[in-house]
Amino acid sequence: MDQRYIRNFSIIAHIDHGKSTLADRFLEFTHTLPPREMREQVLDNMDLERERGITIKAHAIRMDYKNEEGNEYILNLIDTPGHVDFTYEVSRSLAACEGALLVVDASQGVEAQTISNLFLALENNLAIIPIINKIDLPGAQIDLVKNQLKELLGVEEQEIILASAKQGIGIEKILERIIQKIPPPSGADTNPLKGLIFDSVFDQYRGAIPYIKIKDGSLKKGDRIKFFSNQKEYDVDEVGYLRLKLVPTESLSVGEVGYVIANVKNVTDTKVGDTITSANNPATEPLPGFKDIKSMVFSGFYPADSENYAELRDAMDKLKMNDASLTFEPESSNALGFGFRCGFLGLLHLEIVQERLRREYGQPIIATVPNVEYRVTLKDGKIVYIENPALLPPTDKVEKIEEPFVLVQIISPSEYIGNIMKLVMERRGVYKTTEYVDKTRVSLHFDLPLSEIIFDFYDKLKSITRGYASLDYELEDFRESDLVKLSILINGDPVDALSAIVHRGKAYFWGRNLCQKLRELIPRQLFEVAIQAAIGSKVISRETVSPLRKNVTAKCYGGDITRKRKLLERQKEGKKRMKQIGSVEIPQEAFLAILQVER
Amino acid sequence: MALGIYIHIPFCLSKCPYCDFNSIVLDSGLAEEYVKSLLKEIQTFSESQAVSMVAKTIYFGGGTPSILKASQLSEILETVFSSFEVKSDAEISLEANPGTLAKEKVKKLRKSGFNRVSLGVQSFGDKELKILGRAHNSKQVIKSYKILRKYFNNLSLDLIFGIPGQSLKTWSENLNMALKLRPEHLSVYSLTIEEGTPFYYLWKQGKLGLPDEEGVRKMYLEGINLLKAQGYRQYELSNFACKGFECQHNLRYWQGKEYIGFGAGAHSYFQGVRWGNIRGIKEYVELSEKNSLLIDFRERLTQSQKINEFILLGLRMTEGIDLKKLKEDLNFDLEKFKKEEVGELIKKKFLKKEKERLRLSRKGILVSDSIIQKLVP
Ligand SMILES: Nc1nc2c(ncn2[C@@H]2O[C@H](COP(=O)(O)OP(=O)(O)OP(=O)(O)O)[C@@H](O)[C@H]2O)c(=O)[nH]1
Ligand SMILES: C[S@@+](CC[C@H](N)C(=O)[O-])C[C@H]1O[C@@H](n2cnc3c(N)ncnc32)[C@H](O)[C@@H]1O
Ligand code: SF4
Ligand SMILES: [Mg+2]
Repeated sequence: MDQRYIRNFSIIAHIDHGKSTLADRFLEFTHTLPPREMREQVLDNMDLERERGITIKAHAIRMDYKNEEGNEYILNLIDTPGHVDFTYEVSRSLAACEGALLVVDASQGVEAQTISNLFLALENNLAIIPIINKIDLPGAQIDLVKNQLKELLGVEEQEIILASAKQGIGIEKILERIIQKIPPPSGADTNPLKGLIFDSVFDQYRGAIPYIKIKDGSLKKGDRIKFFSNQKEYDVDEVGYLRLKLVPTESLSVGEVGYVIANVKNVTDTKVGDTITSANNPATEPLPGFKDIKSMVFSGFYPADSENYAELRDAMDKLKMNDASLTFEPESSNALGFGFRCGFLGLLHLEIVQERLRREYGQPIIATVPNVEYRVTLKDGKIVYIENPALLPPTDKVEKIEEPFVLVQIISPSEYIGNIMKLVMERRGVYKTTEYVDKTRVSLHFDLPLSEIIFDFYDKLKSITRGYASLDYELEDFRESDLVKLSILINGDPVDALSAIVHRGKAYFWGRNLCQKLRELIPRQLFEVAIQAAIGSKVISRETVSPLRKNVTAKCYGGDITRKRKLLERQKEGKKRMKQIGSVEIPQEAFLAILQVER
Repeated sequence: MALGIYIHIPFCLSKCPYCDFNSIVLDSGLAEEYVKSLLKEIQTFSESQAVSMVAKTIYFGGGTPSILKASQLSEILETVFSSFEVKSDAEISLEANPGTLAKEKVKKLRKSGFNRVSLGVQSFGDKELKILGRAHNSKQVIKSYKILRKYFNNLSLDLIFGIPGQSLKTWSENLNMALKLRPEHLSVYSLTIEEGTPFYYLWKQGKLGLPDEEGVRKMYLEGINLLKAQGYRQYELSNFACKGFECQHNLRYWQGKEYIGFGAGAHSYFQGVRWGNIRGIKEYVELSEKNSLLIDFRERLTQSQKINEFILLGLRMTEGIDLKKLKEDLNFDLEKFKKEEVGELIKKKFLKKEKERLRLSRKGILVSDSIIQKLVP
């Protein structure tokens, strides 16, 4: 394929501004999918995406397009998610493109992720095509949004395309603009192969399948390739491009986006960001790859049935191929056995990983209370990073504890400034600056502890601004705070999986809520169960579960012993799913419900 | 080969709202056919067995066996006699309801071979009997008992506690009334709310008005204490007897011994296999008429199922379980496999160990279900 006729682009926007719907219209217009395969947001093909109405995974798909002049083009579209927790999907997609469609909802205007995703695109030197979508909405404020975009991008009014993904307005215009404005991919067929792995999937029969963008050279079946990072070599079984399914082709040439099947059975061999080159004629340098993503929240993931540790490990390895922002390493817990300390970009991400493990790999897990990472300076001057509160060194060894702070940007109509200020102050925030986005909307900047915005900040923000504010944040630095370790003790035994590092001022509230929740969830047992929350040796809250008083099966039904035994066996099975702390049995729901306790 | 024989009679005067036993309101026509089927089942079974079998106990349960005519009951018993070897000291029990026991009938029953009657009293309070939906009142109880006493020297009464509206006081009165009659045996059951019964639906709607857990616990303890003081030994969680009058038939169940059940829904345990007959009464009769198999399910117990039953049933008896026997017969060393559990339960005084026997303590009896759950593998 002549690379002059290739265009690679991503669709980026704030959440819900209509990226996936716009992608639908392109797929229709270019007849990429037959009408019977079309449905709304057809690229959101994961069940979880459809249930929640959001995009979680970036989806690449190739389209053939004959333009006004009669030239035939290959367009590679990547639909990206809008939610902050999936921003790594966006940045990796952009690395496979030369241009981006920046979509803005006409009724909402520029929001926080409009700006952050735009910056990601600019970092990658991409051509930007601004689009105002949803112009069909009665609340559309086209002129206002035009001005916001002119301001933001320094573009002329006629460069902004008005569209309605719902009604199919502006589709052809956008496609023509893509051809005109987005440069074809650079690179040369004659150079040694450099393929950037920007995503991958695992196939039970065919192993790890990397998705690549050919930056230099070309690739065909039978070639021998090498992964730069580990120098492992494989023979290519198949190459092809991406539709809703994988479509095999003869070869992939420079500038193209597609997949490689090379019987890679060891899933950890393919790393997102790695470069594939030719084994016989290798490139000297790999591509720059991707910046490592910093995990924002951490949680211990444990197999619901502790016997499934190995299966869970396998499932996580495979899932990680398709979710490069997931990190994990082994850990163990007194209550839950062997598991993994996992890093996520946010709580939604955590929840999605948990669900995908369950649905795609049949691995139900128990997650421990999520927390951020702490930087702890010890008395002897050593610095340690703590991702698991249970591992916090004893107080007498600790000089100081620092927690991550983030720079927060909140974009909102100016009338809500007062409410936002109040919320931010409650969350230990520090005000920095205000800028006007246009006459009615402001962009506020704050420093806040990450831990304060991870947990239900967004929902609160939405409710105090009647849904109008949007939020973005990036890690700034570590700062010292008055932090304490809150332990939960069950009949005197500390339960590591329930401990948390919290601000002293909130320890009492959190401890009390946690104890109350546990009291509701721990069933009565043969003995009294004392649930305590403590800071160091000081107990700050206590609840008790009174013991069972009477529990006797009165009659033993004639000879019908089968029924009784089966009942007992069923109860026993239920028990197996309980976790044992000392002699106390704690149901798994207790660990799950902790995630919902208000901080 | 020693056996227990169970005969199920699935007919009652009326259906009690708390009961989920396999029984329906009496239909005399159906009952007649049912008896025929029973006779056939007994004969067919004994004919199919190569070795002769000794019936150590015979138990007519229900339903309300005493609702049948004396002639029907003795015909069934005769068939058992002719199909199995029955020694003169065999325990032959009949479950009976007050109001189904005319003097002549009782006399005939005794003569035909029954030597033990278990009378379903449930309560001596007419208000409580009414709440339980019973077809009799307390006066009929006393009358039936007096008739029975003339012919039988082994009588048992069934009582229920934890009845809606019951107080510790009315329960004690019931116990004292029962004790005044001096039966040889007493079964004292905590009312169980069985799924699918009218009581279950009322309870779900919060309309049953059961005494609270603490109240029921006190009633249970009161029963244990009062009966003990009067010389009744608690030999099972719900059963009390004067020395030598423990129900031999029920003991067989708890000791894992063999028994054959005849009739609709009756269960058997024989040569390592448990099976159950079809529950439907009409179906049972129809299958019998077609000479078809009456069995609903059959399972050969696995090792772990045997262990579960050994513990589950054994701990119901106050003598507890024989750890050595468990080790030798079933190759399961409870003290090793459940070391921490057993240790802690003994330490906290829920279990007692004496020589090679492990049994529930008084405190343990009150929470036996939870303890058994902790001990099964
Ligand atoms: N009225 C109107 N609604 C639209 C238009 N485009 C999209 N929508 C609606 O906006 C909602 C979000 O659309 P999506 O296409 O899922 O948005 P998205 O940007 O892909 O969302 P994420 O992937 O979760 O970030 C859906 O209910 C769409 O039907 C439009 O042009 N007009
Ligand atoms: C199979 S019944 C037969 C006795 C007879 N039909 C009667 O009801 O008098 C045996 C005993 O089980 C007890 N029983 C029945 N249903 C019960 C329940 N739901 N909870 C507790 N005990 C129950 C009663 O005490 C009853 O006497
Ligand atoms: S009389 Fe006995 S078996 Fe019959 S319904 Fe009542 S409790 Fe059940
Ligand atoms: Mg989408």
